[in-house]
Amino acid sequence: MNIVEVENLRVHFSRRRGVTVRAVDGVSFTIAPGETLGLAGESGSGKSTVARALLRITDPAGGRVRIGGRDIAGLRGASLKAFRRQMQMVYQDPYDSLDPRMKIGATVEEALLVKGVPAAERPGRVRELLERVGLPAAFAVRYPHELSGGQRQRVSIARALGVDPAVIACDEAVSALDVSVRAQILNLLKDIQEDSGLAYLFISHDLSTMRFAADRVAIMYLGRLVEIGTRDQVFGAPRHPYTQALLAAVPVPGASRAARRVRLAGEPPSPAHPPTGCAFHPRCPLAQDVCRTTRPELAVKQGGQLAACHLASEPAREEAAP
Amino acid sequence: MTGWVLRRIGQTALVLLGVVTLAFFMAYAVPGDPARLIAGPNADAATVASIRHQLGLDAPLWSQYTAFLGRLLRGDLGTSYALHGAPVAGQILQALPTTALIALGGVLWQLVLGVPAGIVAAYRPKSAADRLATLGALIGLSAPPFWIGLLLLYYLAYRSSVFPLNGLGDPLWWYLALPTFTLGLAGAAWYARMTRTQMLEVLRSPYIQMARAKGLRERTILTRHALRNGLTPLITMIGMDFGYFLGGVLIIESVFGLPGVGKLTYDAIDQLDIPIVTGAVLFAAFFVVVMNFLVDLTYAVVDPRVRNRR
Amino acid sequence: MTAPPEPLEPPESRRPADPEAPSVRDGLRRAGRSLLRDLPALISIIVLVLLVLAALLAPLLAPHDPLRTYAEGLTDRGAPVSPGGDFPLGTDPNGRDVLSRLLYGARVSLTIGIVANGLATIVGVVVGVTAGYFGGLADTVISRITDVIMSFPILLFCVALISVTGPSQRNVVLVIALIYWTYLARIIRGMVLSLREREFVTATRTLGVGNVRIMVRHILPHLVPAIIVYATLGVASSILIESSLSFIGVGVPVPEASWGQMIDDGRKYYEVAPWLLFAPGVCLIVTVLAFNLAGDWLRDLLDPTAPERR
Repeated sequence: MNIVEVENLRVHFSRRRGVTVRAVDGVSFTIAPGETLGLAGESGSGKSTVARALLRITDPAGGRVRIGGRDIAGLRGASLKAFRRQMQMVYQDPYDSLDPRMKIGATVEEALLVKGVPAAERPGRVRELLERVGLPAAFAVRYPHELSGGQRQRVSIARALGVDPAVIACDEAVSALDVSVRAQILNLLKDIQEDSGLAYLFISHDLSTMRFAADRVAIMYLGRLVEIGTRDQVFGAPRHPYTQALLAAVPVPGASRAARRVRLAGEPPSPAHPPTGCAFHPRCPLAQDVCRTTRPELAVKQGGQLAACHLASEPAREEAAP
Repeated sequence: MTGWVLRRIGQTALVLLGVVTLAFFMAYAVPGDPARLIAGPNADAATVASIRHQLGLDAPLWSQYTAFLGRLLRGDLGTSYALHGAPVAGQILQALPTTALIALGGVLWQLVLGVPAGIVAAYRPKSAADRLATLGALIGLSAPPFWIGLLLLYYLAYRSSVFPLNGLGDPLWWYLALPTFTLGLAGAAWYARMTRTQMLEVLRSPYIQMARAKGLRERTILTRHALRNGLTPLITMIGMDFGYFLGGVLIIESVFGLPGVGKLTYDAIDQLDIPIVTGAVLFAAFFVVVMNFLVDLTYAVVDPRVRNRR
Repeated sequence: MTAPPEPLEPPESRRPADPEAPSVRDGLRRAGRSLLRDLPALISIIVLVLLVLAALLAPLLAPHDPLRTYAEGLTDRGAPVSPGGDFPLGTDPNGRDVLSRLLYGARVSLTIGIVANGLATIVGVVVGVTAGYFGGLADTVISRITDVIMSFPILLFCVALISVTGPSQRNVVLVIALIYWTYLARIIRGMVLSLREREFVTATRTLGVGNVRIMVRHILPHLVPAIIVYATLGVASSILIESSLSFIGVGVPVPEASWGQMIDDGRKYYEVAPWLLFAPGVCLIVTVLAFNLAGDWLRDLLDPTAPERR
């Protein structure tokens, strides 16, 4: 059974003068235990908002989110707090996601407090958690500003692990780090996953990180998924022109030649005023009339992944057969 | 814009109602027994009761409150206890021109003294001039106005007879010089600090650095770019100052013996003439609230970003 | 997944001098160093220490009973005695020793300034944090209440409230606190509004930590520097207000000594006994200036971005 099931998730923000921004507009996916789903897209595509809605930082406007088999909409008070132990998040900014006035040990201990670990056992557990994320236990008495960015992200991970969650969302968790440190943190996340069967929702705009970290990859554009498939499907033979353009923009080893065809021009349109039809059509070099009028739905394409594009070819017959 | 103005008017009305309610409780609910005050300590119980009835003080609080609101809407602030039933509003209006004159003088002083000091300080931060202006401003903020006023009187009016001792006379500005200076001093200090902060911010901003990089003369940069942008926010505060000065004149007018709203209130305090005191307070608060609204309105017209805030 | 051997992490560039540096010992060391470089601040701290000592030790230091009228404290014609001799700073029109009254006046000023501000700070912080953190209806209601109270010119409002409730030390404290909490609440609210959007607060909330714990453990510690700064500056203005009230005659009731009231006593005699003005006035301005300087210094030390306030 999947640990995360998201169906038709919608998140709206209302701006002044009654303008509604559909930051997330009908997104569906699942994550299995022990799996990493990558969520990629440019900034403003709504990928962070998806994570925030899953954690109930932002309230969804519609759709259904089930975590550990439980619908999280409408949870309040104690049951909301209980749910929060199921899913945790590691944030982008290692400088801001730890309270600068709190010692590392106290920050990690707070997770244990929430989980109901008796006070006597907490110092030992804090030490274990710090060591689990590769930090010396002596760091417990340090303050965040005495740590490097990578060390702070390790603390963030330790804090998340403290409540023993089933899922962790990593929202650009390594984007702010130096490349060498980035690899270490990614490896740490992998290690933890192998040990404990955690599921990750791994959010990043950086496709090379994604290729390293994700088992399956979903590509988001203006609040909607445009392509979702296994890592090899999406990176090896992207079907959506947007995915192709993204891959063309970064030198990814082994990216197909098709991916190099498309150049991405211009800025993404404002989600407050999305284009008609396929939201990508104003920037799509292949756009045709149908793209301007009709919105494509996600469908199985050649190669087996799902893509939302009128022009991507359907799977050949032998592929479609089970 | 219209929506913003309407919302702001609604807010202002709400605050005004709050001000009035607070003043009502101050005037009628808190004090022991106004009727006893009016009747004097030797009056018998029947007299006190009849006065209480006359003033409507035996009615339930709620109906007293609505009556109070009704009178306010007609511009009636009640009647003075001590001045033989004179209407409070009339007393205040009669004293107002003197006070307005003093407040105007105070505003002039604070601009003339404060703004240049702030500019000089900001233009050469950490220089001797800056330190002097900053310390001077702090002293101005720390000096009790009544004491400054008395010192000025002692040295410039009593000992050296340069200025008149008290009251009003001819030429008027001669009599107002010391009181308005005293009133404006603290404000000047405050304006100096604000000007300095504002100017420092503007002088550090990219467009000033750009102007410097273009090779514009420092004087042009200062007068054409920095001053205009740095001082606009300060100018809009002047309206509010008139309101706050209605508090300041309480002391100034009593020290210098000037027949304004402050003196009226000061004397009323001595005689426990509560309607005059609350009337003056209410008047001042009304003034501040309305000024606040007008300032916001001007801002919104000048700077469209304000309308989208909040 | 083949994990590459973990090399030692390269030391990343750390942020220089973190403004949110948490250690108390660090802070004290920094404060000491900064004091040595800042002469006015150093002097102000020394003055404050002496002042507190003078207030505490008033009974030991005072040469006379501050409340007693001495026969030899008046000249044959009933005028105050000049400074020197038995009365180092002279006597007041009632034949009381000025120096002793000054020392006891320090007690009054400091007590009122500190207690009134302590109350205002507690209320202001609790209300400001609640309004800022929860937002919504609580915030709207609280913001309107502060709007209403802040619409009244401070001094006039104090005077009106006290003339209604009757002058006493307790009432002076309560009235100042009643007004001052609004200023702090508004500042704190603004800070909390931005703090609650910080990622570490979100992270703590998603951990499942309750609101009260977040406010106490994660929001409040970040407010401490601002609270210290504004409380210090607040004591300065409270002392000014108290002295103004006493000067007007609605502050600390006679015969208790208060600097403002001593100046009021002296004003009728300043032609013949100017020391009655000088001594308490100098005490007052030095005290208020010291608190203001200390507050400014703390602002630079703890919270350089804190905005100016009136």
